[in-house]
Amino acid sequence: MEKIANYSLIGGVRMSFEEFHPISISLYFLIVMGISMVVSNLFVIFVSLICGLIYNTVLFGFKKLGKYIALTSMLVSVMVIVNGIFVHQGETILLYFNENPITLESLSFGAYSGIKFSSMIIWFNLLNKALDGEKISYLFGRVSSLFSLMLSMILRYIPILKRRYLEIEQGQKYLINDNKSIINSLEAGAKRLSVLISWSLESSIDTGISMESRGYGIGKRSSFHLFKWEIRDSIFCFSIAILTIFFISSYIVYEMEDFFYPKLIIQSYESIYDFILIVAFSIVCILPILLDVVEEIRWRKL
Amino acid sequence: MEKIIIDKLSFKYPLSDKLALDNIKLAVNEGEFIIFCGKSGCGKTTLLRHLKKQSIPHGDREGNILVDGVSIFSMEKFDAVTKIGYLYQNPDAQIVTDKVWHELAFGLESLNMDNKEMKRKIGEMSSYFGIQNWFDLDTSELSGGQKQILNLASIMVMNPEILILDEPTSQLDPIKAKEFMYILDRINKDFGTTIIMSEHRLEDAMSLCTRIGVLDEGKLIVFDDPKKIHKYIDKDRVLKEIFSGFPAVMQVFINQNLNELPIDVKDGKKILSKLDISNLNELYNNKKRRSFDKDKEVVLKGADCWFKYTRDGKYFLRGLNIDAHKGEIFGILGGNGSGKTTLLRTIGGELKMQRGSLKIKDKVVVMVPQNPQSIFTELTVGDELYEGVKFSCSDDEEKVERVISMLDLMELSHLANNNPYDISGGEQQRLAIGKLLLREADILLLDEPTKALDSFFKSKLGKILTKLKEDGKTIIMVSHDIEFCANYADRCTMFFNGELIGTEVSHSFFKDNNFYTTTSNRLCRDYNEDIVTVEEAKLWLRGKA
Repeated sequence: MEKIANYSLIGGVRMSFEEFHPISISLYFLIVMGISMVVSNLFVIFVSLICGLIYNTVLFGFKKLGKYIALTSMLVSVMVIVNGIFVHQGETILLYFNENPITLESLSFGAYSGIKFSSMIIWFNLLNKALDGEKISYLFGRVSSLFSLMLSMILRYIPILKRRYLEIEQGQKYLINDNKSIINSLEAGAKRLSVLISWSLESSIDTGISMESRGYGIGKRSSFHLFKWEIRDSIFCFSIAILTIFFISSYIVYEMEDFFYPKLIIQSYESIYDFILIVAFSIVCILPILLDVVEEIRWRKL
Repeated sequence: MEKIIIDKLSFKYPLSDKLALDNIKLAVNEGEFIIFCGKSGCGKTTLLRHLKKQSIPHGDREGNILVDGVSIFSMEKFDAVTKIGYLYQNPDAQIVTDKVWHELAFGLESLNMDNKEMKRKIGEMSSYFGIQNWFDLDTSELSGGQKQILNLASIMVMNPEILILDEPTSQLDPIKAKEFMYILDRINKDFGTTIIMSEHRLEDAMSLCTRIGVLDEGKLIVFDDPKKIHKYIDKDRVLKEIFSGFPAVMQVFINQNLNELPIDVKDGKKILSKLDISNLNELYNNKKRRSFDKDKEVVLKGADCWFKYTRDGKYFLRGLNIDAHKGEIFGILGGNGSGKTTLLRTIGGELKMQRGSLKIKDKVVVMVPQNPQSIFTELTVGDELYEGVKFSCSDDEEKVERVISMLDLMELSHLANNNPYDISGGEQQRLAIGKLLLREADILLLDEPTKALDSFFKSKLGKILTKLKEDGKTIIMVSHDIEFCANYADRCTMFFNGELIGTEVSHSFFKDNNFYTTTSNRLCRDYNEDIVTVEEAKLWLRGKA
């Protein structure tokens, strides 16, 4: 049993969000990452970055946070420099560099792209944790059962190859020539590889026969899975869908798009309707973190 | 009711001039449990493959096979998949997917079954086979025995009426093999599933089967109740050879003119109690027993060896002491996963002990891996052996000479131009031993040398090992095979909890054991505990008036 030593909710939280149905999980990441990628709005990208950082910290601890802050600052500075030097669009000229204008617009667009890029990476790490091979295989299986079978076979083959290679290496130890020149060791390596290949080809014939005798290829295939669509999946998907609709409509209706070229225009937030945009997206971003933390607190109280 | 009828089936592989199956005629009733046995290459696999439409080999064929009155060649694809299940020899190669649950579903997916129905069938099967505890695991995490049970379950989930198995337990250790046999027995009795199996390990299978078929060079020479097999023995020389792979109890009573042969020790003891055996012990005098000279030169001595793989792991060797003499076969018996292979790898110098000393007197040590395939790199058997001497001496003629003499010693001369992958398991084993011996090895370490060998190859291996021993080689083998160790090892020991326990001359080792001993000893120990091997038991019974 793992003992929970510290009561802080940082680093030790289990991701219970991953227990949702794969379709809910993939819909969620599609929305968050899609909006962060497509929408051009400074607040949105900040919320996305900060929520991604918080979620990573809650799950993996401060070490990960430090790593991602470093990554973000590196990406931002690289993008600012590159964009500033090579892109000369924009009205607000700050200074001349080698007789080329450096504009406020191109610098700020560089910073904005850097943040966007790094928030993508941060969210991708979470996606990776939430969707394992089994779930991906299931999602693909809904489209093509053959693809999901292929994925499963590849995942089966990797550990077999590893084990066989170790076995070959072990067996050959007693055959290795004492003279350890480069040519000899190259030859030994090539031999090991050739044994691995002939052994694997030999055994894959048996795999093929076994597949055929269990009916592979007699007709259409279905794809088995152990996932169940629960009521909470419906509630979850419904709520994020509603929030997304709120977000998109207010984004379009109130024209909340920020512009970088030709002149930097950042929308101002005056009425309550303007805030719907930010609030809706923030709720979407924070939702799985809340779910995980609530679950964690419930367990720690036991 | 007759479930399967094989009518005058003859078969020839392309490019071969010999019939692989020669006019086979038999009928199998519903719910029967049939075992086919015979030497490697006798045609049992070819026969079994003809019973499943998807695996029928290509070649010239005559005759017909009827399953429920329908010819197998014109059977509907769907029926051929669901009605007949086929389990192959190699547990690993049959598994297709990465997860246990997915493997169970594979056949049902092929039938395009919907998820709800699949879930129910898989749930049912997992509960029946006791798979539920490892249902979520990756298939690569399973043990060999679990893999074969999974393969069986993923066939049974399609609810076949006929189950065909080709040497299903040959890759398993004896305990797992026994478990597997019990499951087969349960399926046979619970559902009346017709089972047809080929097997060379007959100790466990014999008591379960209703009839046994013996094949030789494609001909079916016997097809009858195993208890009546002794009636055919005198007539057929080949059968006599195959009989050496039958359960020891049957072999012991072969010459006793019984109506029915006993199959297990319980039956055997019943018969012994009825026989007049009061004067047998006086008449019994075994002159042929192997003697062992304990004063022979000690070539390997290990004292207080301790070994573990990781800092926090458990010790696999715990203050182990071992010594081996020049010119002996030393058998190490013991359960699975106890660390016997670890011991061999330590002796071989692959692993470094944490404590203790290991002295090997200027000798080259080689280890033959469990899977001989892992050391084959060349295209022919001859080249394979030549590879072994490539670096040893400068003179080419001498190299060739040594290869030829090794081919001769390992009885592989007739296979010199074959591909190492095409020869049988027993021959591969000998080729691996030969290749490693050419490294001028004096100490030979064998890891489960009799795994997957039939009785014929076993006795051949035993003879070759004896020959090597007489040449002054030291052979240390780790094995589950009690009978093999009793027949060929000079000294035996038991590996338990990281130590070698009860190291003794084989004969006294088995004599002093109560449970971990040969069948013949268990059978006769109430009357004469000196009897260890089948030959001794037969000799002892010969004195019966």
